[in-house]
Amino acid sequence: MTLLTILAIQVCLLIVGYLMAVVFGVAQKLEALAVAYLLGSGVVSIVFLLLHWLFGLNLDATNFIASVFLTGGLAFLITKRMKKTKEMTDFRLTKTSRVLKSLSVFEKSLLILLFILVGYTIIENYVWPVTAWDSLALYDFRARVMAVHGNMVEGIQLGYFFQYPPFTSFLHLFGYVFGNERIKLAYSFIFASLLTSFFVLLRRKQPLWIALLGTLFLAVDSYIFGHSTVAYTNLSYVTFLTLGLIYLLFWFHEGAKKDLLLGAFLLGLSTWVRSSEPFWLVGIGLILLRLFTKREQVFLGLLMIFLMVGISRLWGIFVQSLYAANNFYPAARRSLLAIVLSSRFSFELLLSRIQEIGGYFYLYSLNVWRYLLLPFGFSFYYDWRAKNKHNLTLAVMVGLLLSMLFGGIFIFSLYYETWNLITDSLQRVSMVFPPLLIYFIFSSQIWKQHGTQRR
Amino acid sequence: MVLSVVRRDTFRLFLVLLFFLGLLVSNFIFELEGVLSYSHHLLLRSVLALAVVSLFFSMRRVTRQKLQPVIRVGIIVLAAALFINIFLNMINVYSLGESFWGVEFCAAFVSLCTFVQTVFFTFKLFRFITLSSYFFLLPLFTLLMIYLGNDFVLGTKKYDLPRKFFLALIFLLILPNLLKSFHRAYLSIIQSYQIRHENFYDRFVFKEGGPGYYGWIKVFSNFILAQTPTSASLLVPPQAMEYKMEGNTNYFRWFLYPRRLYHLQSLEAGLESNELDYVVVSGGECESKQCVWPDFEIDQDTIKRMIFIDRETQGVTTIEGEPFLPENYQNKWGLIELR
Repeated sequence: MTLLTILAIQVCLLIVGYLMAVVFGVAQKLEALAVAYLLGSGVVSIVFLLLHWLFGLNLDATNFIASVFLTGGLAFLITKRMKKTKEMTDFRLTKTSRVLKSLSVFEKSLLILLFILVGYTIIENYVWPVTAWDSLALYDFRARVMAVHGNMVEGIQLGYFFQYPPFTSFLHLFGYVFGNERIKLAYSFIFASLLTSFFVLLRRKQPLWIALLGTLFLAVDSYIFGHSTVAYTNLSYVTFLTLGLIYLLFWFHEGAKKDLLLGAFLLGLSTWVRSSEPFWLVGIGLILLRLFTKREQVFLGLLMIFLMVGISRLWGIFVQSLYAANNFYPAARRSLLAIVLSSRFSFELLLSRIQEIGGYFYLYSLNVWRYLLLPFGFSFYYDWRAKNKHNLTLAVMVGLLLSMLFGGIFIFSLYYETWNLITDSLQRVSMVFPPLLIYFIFSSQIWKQHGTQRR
Repeated sequence: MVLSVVRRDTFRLFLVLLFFLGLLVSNFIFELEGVLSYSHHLLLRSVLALAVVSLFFSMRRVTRQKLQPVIRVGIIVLAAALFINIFLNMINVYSLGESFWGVEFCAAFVSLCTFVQTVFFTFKLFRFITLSSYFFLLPLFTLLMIYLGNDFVLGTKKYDLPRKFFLALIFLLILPNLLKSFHRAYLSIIQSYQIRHENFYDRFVFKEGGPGYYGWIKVFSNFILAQTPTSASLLVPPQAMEYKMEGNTNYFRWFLYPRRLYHLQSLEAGLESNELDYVVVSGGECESKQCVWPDFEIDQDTIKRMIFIDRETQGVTTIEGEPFLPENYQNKWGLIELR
């Protein structure tokens, strides 16, 4: 019963997300399934908060059911109007078995390995409770308090409650409100969604066996795989951010509307998981650049930017309104701009600080993705020669992300005395690079051999 | 011409066997030294695996097909050995003799049990159970690759040398990560089966290394939950390395909510504060040195009673009518109920 309940909750989110994917114009069932849980969990959790904030519903089972029906119902009506429902809900086993039969032995082996890895995360996440430090201190604790009270008011008194957006805590809360404690199963769904979406995106560029091999390569990356069974924000954040950026990359070069919609939503939802990293701004830059150069889909592009900014600001505005409603006025914090402008550095001190950050970056950030540098170098050379614009744009994006990370560490060092002692935090932030680099490597022209037909 | 092709295949087959034997021997040596999972050792053996795979696929198709039955047998033997290893670890074969059905069975079949035990210890079969998953998985994956990887080879047949080097690099990067991932899965299957009867939240103790390690915080918290009402307010140690768990209120509150936790410096009236009901006594993590918190005296008049839990036996003792003197309670864990 416990397993059925928790699965039912996840499947509800999956169905809502699937319908949303169809609304966005996704025509391929596998792709819709791949992004379904991400869209569903993200949007339902936002509606869940909005129903609580604007209409006074408690953060409980009734609210969850209302959120699912509201979002899912709206998406269903739109898909019906689009006349897509029948086509996209036709899941015949014969079709699936025909596809599976057409796979080569090697491809089947890769698929089996992937299923085993996802299966392991399901067992691990179902059998074991939450044990990770930050989850006990914040993400899971918040969910338990909300489950008891149906709101976040006590969080003001408790302290260390509002520092992160609520996505991860809501994923836990969706289980707790139904009396189910096996909430970690949600992370298996996130992991499976990451792998499936990654495969679908890679498949757009490469034959099946390369797409499967690349997906397996990502699945066994030690940080990604390690976080598939840890109740932290990092895997969810990396999933939303990297998939969002890759979808926007496709839109940048091919202009398909559904890539813009998916990319913008996923990127916006990354700020609903974690808001301290500004990596999502690279996506906004990409959208603006295309709007400026191609002058197509301008309204839609600006609307998506507005949506992303809206999602990123939602949590902060809610928290401020909660404080005001409870007559709580925390001490004002200096803005980052004020911190940067008020800092005074001599040239020698600046150089020394940069050197210090470089060493810190080398030891802890680079450590996460250093093993990918050599294959990346190879791939980059072939893509440069072949003028593979798709991948060269991705390389620029990765460069921008690296610069932002480096710059972010520098700014952090200005106001946080022990900035270089939270090494595991830097490693977790650097987890955004492996999926992007692995995607680059496996979508590269280096895999093309003379006379190969894409299958 | 045909003879030279056959000779070439024979030589390559010899090299395949040599490298595979080298893989098995290095596996065995590293296992004995307990360094099987070290990154550089994994990489070295991945190179051996790559050599086996490359040489195998450089042979003619007809030669490779003749070897398929032998490879199949090798896969079956290794897979069976791995499953037996997992099974024996799952049922925790060392404690079988003490288990209920083990005692009953051996009482009925004394000579059989004696024979099994003799064989077990004479041939040191217990070493088989201590073999890690890496010992089986690396040769197994190598054999699977040469058994199932024909399509991969076809797909990369026309690759030039730099691309082949790139493929080799991908192989060398993915194989160690694959082994590490499967090793985690292997450990998880064993541990998940062993704790299946435990209360869900108490599995925290096992996951965090048991009551002798970080799992102690859950055992200690269960003690506090049993001794205090939900409305209780507790004074906890300061946030320091010695008290990194129980001294971190953001962390400790997960275990004790809705009870309130306070540090001494956050209370204006200190120990006299009306808000306080209990003081947490922590033996700390002092690296074999003596320590305890509170590290100050609390007089008898302030104390209603003191309740202590033994970290090893989890036995509970209550003391009344005495002051709290830190020197008398070094490395002790418990609660002081205040008047």
